[in-house]
Amino acid sequence: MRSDEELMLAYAGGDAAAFKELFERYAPKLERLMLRELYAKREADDLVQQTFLQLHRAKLDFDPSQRFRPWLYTIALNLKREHFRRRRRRPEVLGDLADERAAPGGAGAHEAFEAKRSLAWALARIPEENRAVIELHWFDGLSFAEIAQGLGIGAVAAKVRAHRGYQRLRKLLGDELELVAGNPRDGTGI
Amino acid sequence: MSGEPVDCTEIRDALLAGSAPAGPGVEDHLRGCEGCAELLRGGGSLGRILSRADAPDAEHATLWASVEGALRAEQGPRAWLRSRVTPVRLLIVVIAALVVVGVGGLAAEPSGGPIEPHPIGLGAFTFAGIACLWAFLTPTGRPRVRSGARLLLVLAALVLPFAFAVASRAPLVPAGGSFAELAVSCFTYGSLLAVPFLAVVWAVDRGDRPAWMLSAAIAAVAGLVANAALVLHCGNTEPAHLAAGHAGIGVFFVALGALWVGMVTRRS
Repeated sequence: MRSDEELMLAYAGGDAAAFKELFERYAPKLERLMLRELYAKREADDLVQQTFLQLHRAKLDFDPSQRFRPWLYTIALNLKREHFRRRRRRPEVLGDLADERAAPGGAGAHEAFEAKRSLAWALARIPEENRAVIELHWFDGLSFAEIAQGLGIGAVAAKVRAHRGYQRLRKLLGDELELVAGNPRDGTGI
Repeated sequence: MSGEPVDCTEIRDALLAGSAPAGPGVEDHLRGCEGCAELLRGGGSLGRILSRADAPDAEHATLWASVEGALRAEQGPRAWLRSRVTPVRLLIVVIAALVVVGVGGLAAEPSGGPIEPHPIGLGAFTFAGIACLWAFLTPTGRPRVRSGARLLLVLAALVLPFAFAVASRAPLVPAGGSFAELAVSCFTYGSLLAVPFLAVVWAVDRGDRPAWMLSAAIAAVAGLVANAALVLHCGNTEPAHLAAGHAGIGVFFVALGALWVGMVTRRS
């Protein structure tokens, strides 16, 4: 299997199939990244499409000595930030989540929904520089070295941002965390 | 987990997989990593709650179709220009600015008054313009310059021509028109010169959606280009003329840009 970097180089060299392979690898991850605060599929789809268009336009800018993944995520996060700035609004926490409330699943599903909503609420309220690092590390699986490369900061600075973000989340989530701590097998599989 | 050394990603993976990371390797790691220590505090409650945040996978067949359609539409000179490497895109913009300043600045002034090019003013306009372009046309996958710094650059690009006007000594007013006529004449001429420059920047910009800061920055740089051309073209060094007829061009384009971004944003 070709690496991301090999695929990007192949695409820059004219291999159109390499682009589709990159799309298949990353479209679901990018959609999750966008949906985390948008909760509006149409807007998330639009931002994912914009990300891949930017990728296409910047294909000659790709530096093969750098990792592909942080580069792609930097493009996606820049677009996401611009989207919120353009709309002059904070990331959303509700929207389509309201539909989940009505879904069947009993008390466990309801608690999981509440916890998810609380986390989305808290994530939307921590500074962007902390949120970006937590999202990239926790949800997208990037190492701190990769995040540092993508954000143009040092690896230590990335870890410090994550730590401060975790502290702020803990403060915001207060009661929710106590509930989770008191119920370690709470339907999340942990 | 065993006594092997672990890193932050392994701690995260373990929490996601539902296990409680423990052991000498984990303890060693936690002593040097405040972030992971925070995640695992209180029985790993924060780590556990973070694992719930992901949205479900979505259907991508239709999304690929629209990406494919958008890629097919990427044809023509603009598509070619905006896919050049960033240093080349910057070079194209700088060449466009030089052509505008050269052609527009060296064209004969109607009043035929004496021209005293101001090297410090020209140098300051050039420096501010390039700094602004560099901050706003950075390669797509690079982190952006902080928004506070970008705002300062835009403000500097707008204020600089006014500072140049205020600093103008020994005012020299050529004969041949009232203050208003001369100011309107320079303002119109400078604004017209800025249009081809703006067209080139639009052609190389990779964005599809108008953004407030980007529009303000490009408008301010267009103002600097017009002011640089006018420094070479207009012999009038009266501060009020320089402020109204020259420096006002940047402000005018910033206002125009804000109106345009506002309209497009509302429509979408």
